[in-house]
Amino acid sequence: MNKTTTREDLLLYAYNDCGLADSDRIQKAVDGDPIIQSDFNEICQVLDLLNHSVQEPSQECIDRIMKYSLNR
Amino acid sequence: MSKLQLMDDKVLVGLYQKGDQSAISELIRRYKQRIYSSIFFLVRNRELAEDLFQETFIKIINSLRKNHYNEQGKFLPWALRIAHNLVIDHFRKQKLMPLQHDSEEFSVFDILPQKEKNPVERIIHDEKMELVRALLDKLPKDQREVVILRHYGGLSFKEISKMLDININTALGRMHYAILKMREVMDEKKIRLKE
Repeated sequence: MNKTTTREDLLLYAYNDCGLADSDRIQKAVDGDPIIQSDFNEICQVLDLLNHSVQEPSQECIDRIMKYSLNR
Repeated sequence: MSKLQLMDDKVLVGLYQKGDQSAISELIRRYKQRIYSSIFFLVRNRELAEDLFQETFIKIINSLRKNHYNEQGKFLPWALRIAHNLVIDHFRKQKLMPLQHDSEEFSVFDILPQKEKNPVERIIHDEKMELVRALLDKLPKDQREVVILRHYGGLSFKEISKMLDININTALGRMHYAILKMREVMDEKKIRLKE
């Protein structure tokens, strides 16, 4: 990891949670340094796995909320 | 795409406060996965998660109707804060930690609704779900909380730091160590998602 791009930077970048200027700087670091690229890929692999477990409530649960809202 | 789907949260809140039911329906549609997943991975029980999700929206509805909402368009962080507080209240009342709800005989994943999938897809999906659960279980509570709020809740690290009353670098640090830990477990289990 070089001095200007930390793992925290990579996390912010992975979540699109940094400013445009920082995004550009981090992308260049990822593209230009195999170690940083490897670190970034590791982060992406974990986040990709987490994406497989998004949950949602049942339709009955939503119907109950809507019914409550209508009766208020 | 419907007209409502193009509206931002602030406009939808305003419409709902004027009595438009379709506006709250759109807010639920827009955020149900983020809010519900955040609750679910904290309490790890589907029935309880549904109760808390419902309670969260009842509080949201009551606040909006009483014009108590003043979050300047930040609907999701506000909604997640309500959900998070309800989860904390629940465990405070129960005086137990939100860990290890399952037993060997019973898994919350046994009662999750199965979307239309063929048997092979279902097996792969279930395996990944089980794996994610195992990964999250390995994390200390404070790290797991940040992962859930960032990944499933969709809050920014700044919003998480505000919600949990911690420094943004602490939030980032917890996420960083959580990723390292999960990566370590993936390596141990020889999990490779992408070739």
